[in-house]
Amino acid sequence: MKRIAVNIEICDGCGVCQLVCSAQKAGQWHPSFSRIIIKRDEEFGLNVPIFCMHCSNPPCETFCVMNLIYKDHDSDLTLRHEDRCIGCRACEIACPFSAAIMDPISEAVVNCDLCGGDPQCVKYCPAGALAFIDISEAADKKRRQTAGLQILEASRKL
Amino acid sequence: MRILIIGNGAAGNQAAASIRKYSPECEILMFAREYYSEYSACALPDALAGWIPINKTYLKTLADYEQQKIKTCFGQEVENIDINNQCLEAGDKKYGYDCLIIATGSRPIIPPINGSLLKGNFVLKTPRDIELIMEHKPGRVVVVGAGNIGVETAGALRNRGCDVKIVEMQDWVMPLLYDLKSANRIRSLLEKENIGVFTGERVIEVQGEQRVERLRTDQQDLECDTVIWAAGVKPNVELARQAGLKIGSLGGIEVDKYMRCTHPGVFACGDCVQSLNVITGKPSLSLLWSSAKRQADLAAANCMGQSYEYEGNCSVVIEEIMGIPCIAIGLNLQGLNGYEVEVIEQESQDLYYRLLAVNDRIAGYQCIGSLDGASSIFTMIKKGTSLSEARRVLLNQGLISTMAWYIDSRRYF
Repeated sequence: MKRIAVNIEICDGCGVCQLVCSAQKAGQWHPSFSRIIIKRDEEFGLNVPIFCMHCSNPPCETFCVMNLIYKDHDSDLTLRHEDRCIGCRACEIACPFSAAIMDPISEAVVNCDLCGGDPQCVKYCPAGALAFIDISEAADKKRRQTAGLQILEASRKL
Repeated sequence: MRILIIGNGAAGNQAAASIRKYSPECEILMFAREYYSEYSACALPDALAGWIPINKTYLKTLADYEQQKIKTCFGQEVENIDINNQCLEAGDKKYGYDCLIIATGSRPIIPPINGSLLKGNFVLKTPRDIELIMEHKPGRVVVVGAGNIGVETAGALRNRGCDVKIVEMQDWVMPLLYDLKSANRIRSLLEKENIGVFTGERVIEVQGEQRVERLRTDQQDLECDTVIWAAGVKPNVELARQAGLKIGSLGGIEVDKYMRCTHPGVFACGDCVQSLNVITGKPSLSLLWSSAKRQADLAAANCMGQSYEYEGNCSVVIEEIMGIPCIAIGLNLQGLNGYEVEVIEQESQDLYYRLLAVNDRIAGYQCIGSLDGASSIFTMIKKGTSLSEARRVLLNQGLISTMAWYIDSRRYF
């Protein structure tokens, strides 16, 4: 199973991924149409790309009042019947990663669908901060471990 | 294995869908009083406003039930549940079960006052209600109750060009969700939309000869041709009570954290149950779509032999009034009555927010003007994050870089 992985050490927040995504998905050249969002933290100078994590039991699915979000059986992706969306934005609030985006033209909330297995953001990332890799791959594991250790350390201090 | 589900709403259908994840084969029978296929109650105001067609509010067709291999017994009122012999009676027939899931939902409250049965009184609970309201050709409307359904209904009819007034018994709009200050912002938004808002007024009676002509409150007479009752909903528990299942102090069916009723083999979920609030741990009714689906998912899993615990209710209500997003998460001051509450608030021309904390723990959030950061705050409230913990994460470069989704919520702390 392949997913997008980020190396935030390398990401310089150029925003090309957002432009490519908006062009690919919404036919617009504007970051606010993008399914990948760079969270920018001015305090620490951080740039962290965020996108749908395709949770195994997605809260957005539970919150959708139109029951249009579903887990795809084969790819295990969290997908939507966008045409039925009424734009209530409940899934946007339910998403713990803030990865559901309101598309201002279609007035539907959308999420990353990995471009059907060929994510354009990864392809065009100039810094090489994004990678499309098998989630069992070591690099990703290491990334998760570091994240996990930091959280552990944080909770110990409580 | 044979599972019977009473109710064809969000909870009943989610339960059926979740059972199918565990067992593609077991027998599922669904009973419902009405013939509708599943519809989204949350989309009804949008359909009433004319933003979406009525048929879009239906989430399933009858063929979908067949495809999910759910046997439907629609139009059949369940008369009796015999929990000792594990069977129920509907339409002179007896149906035995291995597991029973009660998802009877709720119904709108219409107080027994004079004139509440006159032509021109409506509720908004099913797609049929929209048709009835539109056939009536409403011109001057009074909406009784300024909860989220009342406010949305008022906005919808205003969009249809009606003259709309809202009457609320309590002192401010959406009293269960917002505090006075944030509610006043919403009130001014409604008034900008030319919706008359009258709070602190009790409805005495509806007057009229053949049909509704005016609504009398304890302070004034409001001329109108249509009255919409949005004064809250009440769990449907009569069947469960008759069967001998315990009904909780708030009027919902009592369930444990596994969504089990007080009798083995019987589960309940959705609007008809009383569960615990995730923040206070006290009994609460959660008459929300998301809670219904979450509870149904767990009830179904547990009736298939799993043992998943329900974390508790946490209310989230999002409204868009005059294009301004408004959101209330968790509890307001009224809901936190008896606790010492710390209030963090900020106000500008376009934005108002307040964050409530009890013993350092984030317990409620209300914001008028933006949804930014609301999803992280919702997660924090559900997880029981404390204010100091949130601040520590937000002020630590290493932590925030691994939890970047919290960045948007920094301005609230």
